Amino acid sequence: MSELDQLLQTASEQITAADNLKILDDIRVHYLGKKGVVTEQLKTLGKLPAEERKSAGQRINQVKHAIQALLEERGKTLQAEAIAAKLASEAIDVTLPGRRSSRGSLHPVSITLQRIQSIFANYGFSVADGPEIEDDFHNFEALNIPPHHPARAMHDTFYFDDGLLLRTHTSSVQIRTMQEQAPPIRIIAPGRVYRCDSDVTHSPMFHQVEGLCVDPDVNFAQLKGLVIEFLHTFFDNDQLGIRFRPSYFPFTEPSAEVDIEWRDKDGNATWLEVMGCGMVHPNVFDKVGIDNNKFSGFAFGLGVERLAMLYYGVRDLRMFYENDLRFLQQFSERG
Amino acid sequence: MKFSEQWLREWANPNATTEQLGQALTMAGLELDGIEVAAAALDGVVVARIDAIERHPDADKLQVCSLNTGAAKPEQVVCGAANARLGLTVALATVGTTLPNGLQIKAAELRGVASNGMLCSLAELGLADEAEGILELGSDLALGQSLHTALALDDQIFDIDLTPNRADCLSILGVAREVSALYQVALSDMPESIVAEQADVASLSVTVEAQDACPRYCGRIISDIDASAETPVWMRERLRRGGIRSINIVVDVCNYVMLELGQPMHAFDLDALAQDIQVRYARDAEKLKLLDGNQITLKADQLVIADADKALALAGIMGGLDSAVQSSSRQIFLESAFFDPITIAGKARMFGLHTDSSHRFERGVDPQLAPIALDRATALIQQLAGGRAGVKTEAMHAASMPQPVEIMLDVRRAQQRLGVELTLDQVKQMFVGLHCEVREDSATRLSVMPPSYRFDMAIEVDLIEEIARLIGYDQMPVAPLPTDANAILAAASSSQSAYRLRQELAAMGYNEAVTFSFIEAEYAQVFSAQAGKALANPISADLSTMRTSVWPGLCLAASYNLKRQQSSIRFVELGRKYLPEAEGISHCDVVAGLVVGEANPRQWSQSTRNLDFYDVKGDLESIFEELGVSSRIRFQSTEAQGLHPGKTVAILLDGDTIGTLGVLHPEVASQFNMAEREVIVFEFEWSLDDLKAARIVFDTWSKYPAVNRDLSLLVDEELPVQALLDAISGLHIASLQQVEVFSIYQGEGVPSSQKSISLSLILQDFSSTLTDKQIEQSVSEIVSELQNKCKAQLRN
Repeated sequence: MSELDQLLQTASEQITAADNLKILDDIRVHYLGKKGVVTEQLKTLGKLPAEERKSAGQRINQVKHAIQALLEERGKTLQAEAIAAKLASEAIDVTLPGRRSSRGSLHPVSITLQRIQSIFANYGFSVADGPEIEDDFHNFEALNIPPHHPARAMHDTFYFDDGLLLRTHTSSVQIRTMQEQAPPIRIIAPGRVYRCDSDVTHSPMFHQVEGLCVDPDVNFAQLKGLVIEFLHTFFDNDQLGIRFRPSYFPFTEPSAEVDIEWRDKDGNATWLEVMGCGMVHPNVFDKVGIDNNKFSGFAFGLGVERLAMLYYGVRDLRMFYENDLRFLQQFSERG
Repeated sequence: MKFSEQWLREWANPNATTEQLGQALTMAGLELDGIEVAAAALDGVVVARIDAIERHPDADKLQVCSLNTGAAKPEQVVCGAANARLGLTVALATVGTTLPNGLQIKAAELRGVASNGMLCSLAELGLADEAEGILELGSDLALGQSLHTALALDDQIFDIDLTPNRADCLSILGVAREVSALYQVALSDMPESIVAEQADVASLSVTVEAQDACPRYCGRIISDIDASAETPVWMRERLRRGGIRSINIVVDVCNYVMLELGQPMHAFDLDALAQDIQVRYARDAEKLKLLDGNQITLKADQLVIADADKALALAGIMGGLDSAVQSSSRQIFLESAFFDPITIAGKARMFGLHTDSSHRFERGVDPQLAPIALDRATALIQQLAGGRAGVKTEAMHAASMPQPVEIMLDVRRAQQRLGVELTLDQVKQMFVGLHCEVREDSATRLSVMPPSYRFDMAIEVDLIEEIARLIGYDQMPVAPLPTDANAILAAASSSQSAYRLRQELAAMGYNEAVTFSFIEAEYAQVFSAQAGKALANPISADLSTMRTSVWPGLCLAASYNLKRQQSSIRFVELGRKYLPEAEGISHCDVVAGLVVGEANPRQWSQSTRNLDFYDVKGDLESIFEELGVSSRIRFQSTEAQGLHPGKTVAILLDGDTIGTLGVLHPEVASQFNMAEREVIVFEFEWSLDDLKAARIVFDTWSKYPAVNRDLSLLVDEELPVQALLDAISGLHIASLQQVEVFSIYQGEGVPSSQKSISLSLILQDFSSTLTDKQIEQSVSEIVSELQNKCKAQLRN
């Protein structure tokens, strides 16, 4: 074995044995540095006869390149190992839970109200508002419910000593709107209403949305159309069975109760009442000074908790007002 | 209203199943609440006759009966009923029968005598709540036939929920009229009531003082009756299926006629009456003991039936106890009247009453029915309890009677309101079917006279509703509602702002609550010097007063949740409070919040700390920034009822107070079971206009470098930081972009009664890079201003 071969072999063994980048660099300096072994060899070339110089030079350079290649390769390996070792030392338990902020929630009544409002907004119904502490005129009289009307008995009204009352429905906002605003009118009036009644299915306070449309020429067929569109959209179901049946509200005529076909877990269908509606009664228009011969109108009303209970599958109405966080935190806008 | 399907079908019998009939009634506006079977199957219960009866040899109260069931061999049954007697037709539960109450009939020996079955009472058969003795059946029933057949128990009870306008349907006759019109089937004739009036039977004169309230009053004496006569089972059964308890034969007949024809009736024991009948308004403070035993004190607007001395009955509502018919009564005065609905309306409720009679009179009873029903009841009483009928007395004030109205119906208008095609003839036939008198007034107009029992048909729109009802609401066309695109945009924006605020608060970790608008009276004055507006008829004491603040409700909700191991609460409610004012009451829309507990969810790498004032103040600052009003908002130290005097600020918008942020006073916290807790509450008023997001106007920034200078100052410990910030902003230094408080320190190195405040100033110019000299000049200007205005000393 020539001296050069010997040198390459030694270098190769040393490079392979190097276990860190510092040692590897020392090896590089030892062989290839300015005063390195290979560099010294190249310096001796000048002393050789001219005819040997070329081939000797080639051989030295071959050894030099071989060592360089070995260094580079070992270097890469050591570098990768070093990075791997660093990363390994930095590893964390990624299965530990993250840092969170508290999650808030919207009340299901709010979400439901907003859904109702946005659906009706698509038909041009703006939100209107009115007082909850009402007078008899707006809550009853103007809605064609004179004193002693049997319908009053169905309302279980809360009264104050001064004769004012807590509105029993948001229908009172109809009257206020028609008093202030000339037709055409399209409003919905969401809000709290009150009935002197409390059990599993009745709460002394709940939410209603009243709708009113007054126009030179609206009819019952359009009311049906609107209600069907609303219910299909609200329940995300174009196939939802809907039926209209005659009912009675003093402030509308014809009046209808709207039922939807509801399936329980076992697939049994029942009709559930979800809305009331009808064409505005001429006596109501008379009370607010709208000409029955020039305008017709329709109105509708729905219970917000009722719709929310069906939509979310809540069984007990009272949960809406207990404000138990285990209840509230289940609701968000995702659906 | 409950009624027997069998009975209805005697009057109008459409070719429809029970379910179809129920459905059809619902779709006609007579909402079906439910259908139940009239009786249990009663398999094994048969009609039998006691053909022999003798004392039990070993028991005084038992008898041994030999029962004929039509079979060759009689059955022997031991019976303890006092009314078991020879020849009585009875209901026999044979061996193997299971009665509705679960009792299984087995062959047995009672004190040594074999007994193969049981003689049943109505209660044991599930046909009455209670009963005395065994059921006594009519002797005309075939022996051995099943009781189910014999009593026509194969029947359904319909329960319909009638709206107040359809009083005409509060009877079998009324529902049958409706069924007849819906199915176009025949309606049975009224039962024929032949009453042989006896001239020698006395009669009472009737004086109606209140003619408007009682336009028609009919009455008759029936003498020599046997009021102890048993009500026959068929009648008891119809009453039971109609939801009415059997009392005695006279009362039962009155109720029967009411169920059948819709006329509420009343019978007086003639012997309890002093002279003639008066229909008048009560004398003030007049007393009357009602049938239910209650003594009531009358007022002058309450109509009574009276004799010469005293009030006998609350007209159209309930009779009096003293003149009630007993089984011992020998002669009675039977009343059948028409009372004005408005007069009766609401009167029953004044006494907490709601009777079958008041229910009907309030809604309107057919004014033509009174004499017909009187004869019907008379005939039935005579048939079932004997007696001799006197001459009918009738007082009618024609001018006060409801007058038939002629309603003009424009078919084109009906078409327009309903959105359906109609022909004159089609509409005409509908009203003929409803027993109206119809006349063609023109090619497009009908004149319609409704029958006397249709109180709900008075104006044109009432007829339009009938058209829709007869077509069937589900058959009516459906049309789209044309909508203007601009209206959609306006409507969409009208509902956005409040919801955006709710979403923002939820994103910040708040749970939206909804608490009642009424609270306990005491709570209304926790945060307000003023008492809340009190309800006259609260549902309970804890829901009796309109809230003057949303906080009490939130405190209760927080306390409820803390009790259930919740460690962190952030509630917000967007709602109203109701503030009594000199003139009326103001509804004030507020955003209210309550925060208590741990700042963050428990987590392995974080220590927990409790939420405090500054957490919530920061939340509010963020909200106001989101609303685009932060530059107009200021917080100003204040004191407020119910809050900690040192931890409360007023929230000002453009200088006006719009709300409060503070920590609950410890006493208030403990009042709501949150003692020792730092409970932070806030409330600010809002209106939809405030919440409309301010339009964003783009602002550019400087391209020159910003310079940061920190100042550490010593100030009096009482000095609010706001004073420093105000002093600095009062200088209007153009290049001063931002001032931040980054440290507050008290303790070692700071003299007592002083505190160290560190401010970070960021300076930046829009036209050039600031020179050191410019910076120093600004900083020294600030330092000397703070020295002058706030006695602040630069540290070190």
